[in-house]
Amino acid sequence: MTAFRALTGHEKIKKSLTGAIVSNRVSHAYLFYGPPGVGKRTAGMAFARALLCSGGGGDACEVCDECSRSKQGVHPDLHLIRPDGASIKIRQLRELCDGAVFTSFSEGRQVFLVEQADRMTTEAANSFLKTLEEPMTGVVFILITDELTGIPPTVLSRCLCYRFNNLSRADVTKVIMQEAGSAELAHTMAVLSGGSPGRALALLGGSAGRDRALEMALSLAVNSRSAMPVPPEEISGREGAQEFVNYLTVLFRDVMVVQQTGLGELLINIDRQDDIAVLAGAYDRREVLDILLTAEETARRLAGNVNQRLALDSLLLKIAGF
Amino acid sequence: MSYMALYRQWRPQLMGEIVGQEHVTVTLRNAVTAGRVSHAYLFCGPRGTGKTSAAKVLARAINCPEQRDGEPCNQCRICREIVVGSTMDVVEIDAASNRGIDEIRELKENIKFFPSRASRRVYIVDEVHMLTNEAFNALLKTLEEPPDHVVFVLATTEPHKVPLTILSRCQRFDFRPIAAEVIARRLGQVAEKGGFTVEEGAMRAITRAAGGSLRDALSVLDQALLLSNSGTVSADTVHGILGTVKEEALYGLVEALARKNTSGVLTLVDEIASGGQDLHLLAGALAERLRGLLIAMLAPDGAAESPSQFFTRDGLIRGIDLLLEAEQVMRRSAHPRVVLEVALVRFIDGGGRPSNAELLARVEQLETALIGASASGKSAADSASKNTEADAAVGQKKTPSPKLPEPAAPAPGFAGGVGAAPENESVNLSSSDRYGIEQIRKWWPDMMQEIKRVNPAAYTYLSLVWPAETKDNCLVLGVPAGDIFSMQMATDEPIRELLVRTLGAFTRDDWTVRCSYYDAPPPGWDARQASLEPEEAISLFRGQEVTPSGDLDKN
Repeated sequence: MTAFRALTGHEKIKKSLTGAIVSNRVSHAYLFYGPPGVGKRTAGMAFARALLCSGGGGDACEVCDECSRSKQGVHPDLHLIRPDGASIKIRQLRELCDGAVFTSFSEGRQVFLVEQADRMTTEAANSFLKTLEEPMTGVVFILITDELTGIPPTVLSRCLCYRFNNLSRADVTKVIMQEAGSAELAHTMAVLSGGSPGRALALLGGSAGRDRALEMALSLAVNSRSAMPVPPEEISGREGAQEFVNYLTVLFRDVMVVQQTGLGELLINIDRQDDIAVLAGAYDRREVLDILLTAEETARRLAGNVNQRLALDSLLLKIAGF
Repeated sequence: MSYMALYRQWRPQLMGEIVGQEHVTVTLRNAVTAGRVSHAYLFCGPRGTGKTSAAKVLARAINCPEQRDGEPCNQCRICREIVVGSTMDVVEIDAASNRGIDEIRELKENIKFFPSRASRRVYIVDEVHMLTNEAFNALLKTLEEPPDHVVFVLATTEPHKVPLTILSRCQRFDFRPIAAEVIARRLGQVAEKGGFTVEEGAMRAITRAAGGSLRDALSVLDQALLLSNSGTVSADTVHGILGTVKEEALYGLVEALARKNTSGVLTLVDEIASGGQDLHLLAGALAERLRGLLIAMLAPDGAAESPSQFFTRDGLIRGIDLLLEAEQVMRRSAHPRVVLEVALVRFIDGGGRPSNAELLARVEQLETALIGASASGKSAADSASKNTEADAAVGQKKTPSPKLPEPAAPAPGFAGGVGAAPENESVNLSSSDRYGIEQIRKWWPDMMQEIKRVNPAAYTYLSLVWPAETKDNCLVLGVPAGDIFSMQMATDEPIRELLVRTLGAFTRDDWTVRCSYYDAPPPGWDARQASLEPEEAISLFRGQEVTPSGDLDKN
């Protein structure tokens, strides 16, 4: 449970939302959309808390009763709706929207935060629309979704839509710094995540995979063609294999960058510059491009349920120089 | 306060306010003015181009007692009731949410009622292609014999999904994607009325993203307004909403590609990626930009934008291919950035895959080598006379012909006799001029056979001469000194033409043929001279063998 001022990035959106509260031009329905893991839910919660705050300053003051209740997640006028199983059923909406619910406990607003709004069934979406058509005082819906295409156009046209973008590398680094420990690791994960702090945090959890991939590549490069390459034992299951291939891809992308430009600052694995240099010396440009294309194909095959060991073999053989 | 989206605020209330579809609106207005309104209309076209708006205005225009010029007055009670939706006479059915046969059944039941206040009942069915088959059939029945007081207006974005039986019963109007300038003008009006301004770069970005749909453009503008506190919509804001890249960044990237500046390209991609922008859209935008350059290059007036000078046509085509492929792969990949970078590096490298022109040249070389190898292989397999001819060819090699661009590649061990001859021949072939005199001599027997097949007479005359030398694609035939007859025959026009044609077929090159007196044919040549077989003589004169009767002596 946070507030706008603690949220990293999305400056324009924050400004717009706080401005709306301050100037009392709050609409009934909002839609937050964009790539996963960039802070939509956090922003939605911050907005909800700001709406309920009795200070009216545009952001949760953290002092008033409302803010302390919403912080603890026990505010009676703040309703969270999540998919029940695969979808958000109409029943869930009706339970909350019917009857007495429209009288707020604190004579102020009522906020409904709907996560994964693309999972609403058609009936649920229609009932949501009907609710919007009725006169309601103080009710605000905040829909959140990763998949804009899953939202019916009729719903879209009734909501104020805010697009959340990927964060800049600096911002992601800032968010995950504490978790990462070192500035370099934070940088690497920030770049790898493609601008999503959520993804970066997830990647941090699996950084051992990156080391494994690097070790494998180095040993193959150095002892090229000496023996049949074998993927590390720890790799199990499709996800493990995919992660392995992904790390190899990024490694050899760094090798390509070094070979083509010599610019160290463009590296993703910036904390492994020396190892990358070793690899760059062991292959020529054409081989590296070849390896990258093979890796792409391997990733595609793995996604298609192919024999995992065979798929990995073809890539490792390429790297080993066969 | 309730929020009403811009596109709803600005929904056209008159035919004249619908932009970009004059071919439809003028026709409809004329129909209303003339009182010749059809029973069923079908409005087709992409989303956001005015179909529903036109349907609503038409419903009012048909029923408005004060209509002028085919436009409703929007003031009288009937118009206002229709706008609010409180009349039963105009029914809007959204087929996307009501696909079922129930709604259509209801429609059929109610249809027999005459309009209460208006002159006609109007049924507007939006997204009609979404009706189930049963619903379509029910609708069809009504469409076949519509009551006089009913007008149907069907609207759809996918006319191909509407059964032909229904299509054929409606008057069809196709709405076009709205031109960018028209959208821009409309947005300008909205901005003026709304008291804000839109930067030029922002306007361009919006109209490009709108793709012909005015509603989409207004939606983007809506979002942009939310984020613009100063009353000016900036290009940055719009790009932020769309996830697109600013034009300057795109130009920079194209320039770097043109100059094959790999460092520059990768640095720019890094900047764009770390700014959090969408790389899929970047790949698409780049491909579009390159396409623009390609078109500019191919245009007859060839207005040369500076980057296009650096690209070749094939290079641009290859680049566009690479980027489109990358865009596809990026969607499924866990590392779209790497996919894009690899595609850009491959574009600059140019290598990996040779161009079609290079491949073609290599194939041609291979073809010729193959023909030469098979010809020499044949002659080697033939009688010893051919072998000595090869010798002669080998021997001739040592005297370089004048003006022949013979690269100096004296194969070592050349003088090493006949045994080495076959390999030497192939070396010969690849290192020397392909159409040297030796080559012609090698091919001569086959060429003669070919000529014999086509024109036996020519064959006979040509067997009296031999290929003496070649000079710049001119073959000089050797004629025995003093043999005027042979000279005349060999220089005869049709024979010469035939020889030129045959030479062309064998060497795939253009030749001219001359004759000259020589003292003697090259050594070993006479051995090849086949004498005319009796059968050949008979066929030559198209004769028949007859046994002379004893009476011949009498003459």
